[in-house]
Amino acid sequence: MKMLKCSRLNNFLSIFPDKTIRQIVLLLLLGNVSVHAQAQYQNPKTTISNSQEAPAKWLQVSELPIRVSEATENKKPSGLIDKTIDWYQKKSVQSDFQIHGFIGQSYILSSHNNVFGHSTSGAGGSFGLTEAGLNASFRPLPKLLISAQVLSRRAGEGSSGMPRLDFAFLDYRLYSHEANQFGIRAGRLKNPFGFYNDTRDVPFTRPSILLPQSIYFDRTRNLALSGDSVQLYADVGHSRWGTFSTQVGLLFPIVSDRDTERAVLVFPNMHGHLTRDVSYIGRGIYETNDKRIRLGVSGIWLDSNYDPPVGEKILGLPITSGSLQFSQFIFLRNTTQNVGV
Amino acid sequence: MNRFVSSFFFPIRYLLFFLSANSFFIHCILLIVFLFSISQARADNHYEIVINKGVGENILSANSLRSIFSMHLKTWSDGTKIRVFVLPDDDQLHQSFSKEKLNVFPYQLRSIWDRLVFSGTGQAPIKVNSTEEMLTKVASTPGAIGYLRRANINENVKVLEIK
Repeated sequence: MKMLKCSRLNNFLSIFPDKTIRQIVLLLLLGNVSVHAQAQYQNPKTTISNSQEAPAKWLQVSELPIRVSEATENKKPSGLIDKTIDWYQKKSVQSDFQIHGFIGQSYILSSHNNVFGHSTSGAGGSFGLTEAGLNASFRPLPKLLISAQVLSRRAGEGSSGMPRLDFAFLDYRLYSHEANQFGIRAGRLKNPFGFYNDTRDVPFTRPSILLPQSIYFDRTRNLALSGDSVQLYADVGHSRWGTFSTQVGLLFPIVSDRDTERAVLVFPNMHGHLTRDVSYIGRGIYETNDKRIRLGVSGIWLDSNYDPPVGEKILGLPITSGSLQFSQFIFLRNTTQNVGV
Repeated sequence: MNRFVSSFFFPIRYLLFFLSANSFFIHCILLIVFLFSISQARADNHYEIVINKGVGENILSANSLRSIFSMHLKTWSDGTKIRVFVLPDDDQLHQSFSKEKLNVFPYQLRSIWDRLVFSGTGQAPIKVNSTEEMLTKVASTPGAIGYLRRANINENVKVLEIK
């Protein structure tokens, strides 16, 4: 049983070459800006009754350039946006649209060993970890949610900062009664793994700057982050005992990623490619109503194939196609003590 | 009764700790925070949950209320959209509401919303900046739910009873 604790991280950090010198890595999160934009489209009736208000007033936008583009889009709807608004008015359907984004810049200072750039104190520290993301979500029907996110992560050699599609999926609520929800999601989804994998790149949603490497391996992070999958989810809430939420799904992992191939195909002269296979993922989290205790079980059974070019040899031995299986099963525990503020 | 007893005995127990422990400074801070939280909890309970007049519900369970404000329950029982309105995290009414009605701290609500928004599995509530804005938004938005001090409630919104 692995417990999710930060001491794991310390262990990880102390496995650097020189064992006699205790490694102290000091990480400071400097800036962290989050922007949120929410737009609400009103149906014709409501719009008329509030016609004194300018269209831009409907946008609850705070502190960001998106405000400008949103406002102009609403004033001069053209092409696709025009059609979409017409469609709403015809169907008299209300839709909610939100945009959220964040950017996080870290400053790293370490006593020995470089982490994401020249971070040692002699070199003056490093600004080598930057994280940014932008997402949009849209609720065209009461039970349907469509959302997508683009992420960029600049961190050392492993992550170049190239923006990539993190998730884009449909979420349909099949059953909903009081605190009990049941639904289905399909598309590119975040992998429900551990407590923090879902929002691993969002600085203010994780408890530490680097997550424990025993569970959240950064070497294969793109593989772990999200995959093309179909998931069923259920949230069951009890007024006294708390909530139990679970997700289970079929997953086609994203193995074509360059960083992933480099991490999995460890020999330097392997020139073939990984192809994906049906994998399975599941997670259950129990949480008390006051959110002080969270317990979780999380499992992944990952399958992928390796197709080498004809005649490829590793250590002088010829190899043929084969499959790679990886499975991990973890128990999670998180307790917090609240101090009233 | 319970609150009275605990608030009466806790400082005494705390004083004993205080005298025995070394970390004088930390304890000072905790004590101030503790006293501050008592005064705040008693300050403000003259508020109600309000909904748009078009919403068919009259009574809601505390469990459903928690589910709505944690943005998990998305539709009213007739299948129409729920639209959640909240005041800023540091607003005193918001703090009282989340602690007393939902039994969580505002930062815990915020982290629930952040997890939903940045994993794409949900949306954030709509933030309003004042109680006046809360009143007008709840009155004019179909399916809206929010909270208001009794003094600010008028006939344009409906008060929802929580059982």
